[in-house]
Amino acid sequence: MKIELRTKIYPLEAILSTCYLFIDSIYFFLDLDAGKDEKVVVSLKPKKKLSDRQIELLKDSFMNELLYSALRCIVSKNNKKIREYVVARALYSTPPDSNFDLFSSDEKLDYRDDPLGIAVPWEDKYGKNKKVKKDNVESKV
Amino acid sequence: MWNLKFNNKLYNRRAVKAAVSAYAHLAKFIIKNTKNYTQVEINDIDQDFKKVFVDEFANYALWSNKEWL
Repeated sequence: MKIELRTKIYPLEAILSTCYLFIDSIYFFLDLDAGKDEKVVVSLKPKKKLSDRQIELLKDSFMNELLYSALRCIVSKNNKKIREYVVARALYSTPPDSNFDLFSSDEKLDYRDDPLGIAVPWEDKYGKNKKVKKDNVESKV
Repeated sequence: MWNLKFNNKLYNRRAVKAAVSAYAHLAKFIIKNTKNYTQVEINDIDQDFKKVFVDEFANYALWSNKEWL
């Protein structure tokens, strides 16, 4: 069975993706008829022996799926910019707020100042608490 | 002897070669490249697979094509 498909109506991507969908049940061979209207000639051969009615049904479902694939191609082309924007937005995370200047508040500080308490040794920060905890444990025992 | 002509606009040459190397143990292949086609001549097909060989080979080439779309 052969089907001729005009590439102006059915894009090549749609034809190929439909073939991939049916590749389990049909043998395909594609050829190109490069004339005024470029056509893809799709040769179909069912893998199993089927009745004429079943072959007709298979062909119909192939054509329906082809139409659906063609529509997806059109939608995909139309949404290309939006998809690219969404992905780019997701990958680059939140852009920094232009009003927020990371270094402006630090400009007045001396290098010895430590507003966040980073330079405080761990023992000074937690050492006493540790002792208190130990004392608590001992008193409970 | 079978002669298959794969249109270069539909089948990538590398896909056809991938199919040939996958089926090389079941038949003898000769590949000829022309401007628009990759021609594959198939000889001495394994008797056990003769009935379905050419069709399966063409399907494999089509499936391999997916990687180079």
